[in-house]
Amino acid sequence: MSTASANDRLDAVEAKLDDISRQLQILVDAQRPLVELRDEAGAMAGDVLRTSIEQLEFLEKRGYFAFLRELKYLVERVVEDYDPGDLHELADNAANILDTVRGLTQPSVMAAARAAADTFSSAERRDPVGVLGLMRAVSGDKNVQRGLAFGLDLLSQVGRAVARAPRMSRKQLAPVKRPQPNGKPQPAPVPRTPAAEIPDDCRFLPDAEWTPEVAHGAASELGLSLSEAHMSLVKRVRSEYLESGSTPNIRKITGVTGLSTREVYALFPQAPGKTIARLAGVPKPVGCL
Amino acid sequence: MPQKKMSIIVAKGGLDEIYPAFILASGARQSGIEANMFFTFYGLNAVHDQKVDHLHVNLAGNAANPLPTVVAGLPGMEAIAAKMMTKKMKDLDIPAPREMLKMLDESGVDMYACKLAMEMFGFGKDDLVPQIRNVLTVGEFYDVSDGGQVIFT
Repeated sequence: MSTASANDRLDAVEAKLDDISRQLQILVDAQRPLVELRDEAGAMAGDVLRTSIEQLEFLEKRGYFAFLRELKYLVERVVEDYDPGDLHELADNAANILDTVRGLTQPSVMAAARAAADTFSSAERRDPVGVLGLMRAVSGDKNVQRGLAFGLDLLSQVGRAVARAPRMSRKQLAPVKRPQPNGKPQPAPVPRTPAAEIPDDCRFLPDAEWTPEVAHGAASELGLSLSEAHMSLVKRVRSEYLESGSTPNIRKITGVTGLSTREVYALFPQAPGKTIARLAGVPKPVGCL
Repeated sequence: MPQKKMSIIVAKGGLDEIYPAFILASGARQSGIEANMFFTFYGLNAVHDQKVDHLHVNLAGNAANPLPTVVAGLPGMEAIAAKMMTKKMKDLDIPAPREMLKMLDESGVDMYACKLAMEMFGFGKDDLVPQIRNVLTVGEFYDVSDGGQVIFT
């Protein structure tokens, strides 16, 4: 091994060490602000944390969290009960609502509301007023008259708004129904007996099924024997039904046949209208006469 | 038939007060039920030959009547109401009281008048429409209505 080559190597090593030392310096330099920051920030963060906790404690004492918890419940209720469409409509009306609130909070309006509230607080001391008192106040007190004018104007405006407003459907106005797990059980429906059945032994027979023999058969079931007069009445009622679609009652029968009520009852003493309809194969007559 | 005989007492003489009784009686006959009618007190107006064509509608003191009682009590209002009701019934082909009595009689409704009320009003049987079969005391009415149901209108 030669001396020259050994020196060369030493130089190289030295150069590398210098390089490393420089880099270390850079690293250390870079580290210093972080360390300083840590020191300062540590102190500050402690302060911040302490202050925050104090602040939160203060808020808790003031009831803010309870308030926020309730607010969360409110928001949940809103989310449950209203769909996005409702909120969209609300947004559309926001300008209106703000205008209304602004109008309501004008000093003159507030003064009037204050006056009304003062009246309420002193209402206990008022004597009751009857119709005569009302008339005296209306005719004599200019302020009452002014209030009356305002009330009438208000009614007129409200009425106009009502007339203009689109009609809300019953569904829109109905309160939102929520299931009530702890609510009272719904009462059972009142048991009802079925409506009394109205017997109907008359039914319509089409021409294919109805013959005079059918009428004779039905008459013998009722213990009647049909003469020519009976049969012509039965046929007349059947043809009236086929023409007009309704079975003639006794008044109509006497009208179209020229028979008197007495004669109709003489032919069919028991319930003539229904009996004739049954023999004629048509529904029983409707009506009370 | 569940019911074989109805006896209907008519004690009021307003146009609106006699028709329910008439319809009940006529309906009974049309259902094969025997029917009697017994006219007493102001109900006699409905079978009085001079009054049966001039019956009025009872307006005053009638809560279902749309007119205010003050207006209903004015002279002539009941006649106007009777005219309106008569026209309405004519449109519906409901017979007028006199024709109704004839129809009821022909369909077999037996009609009677109250003896005591006749004496009170000073009516004789000749004052009444011919469809009244007889003038009865209350005891005789009970004999007539025996075995059936009694309706008071």
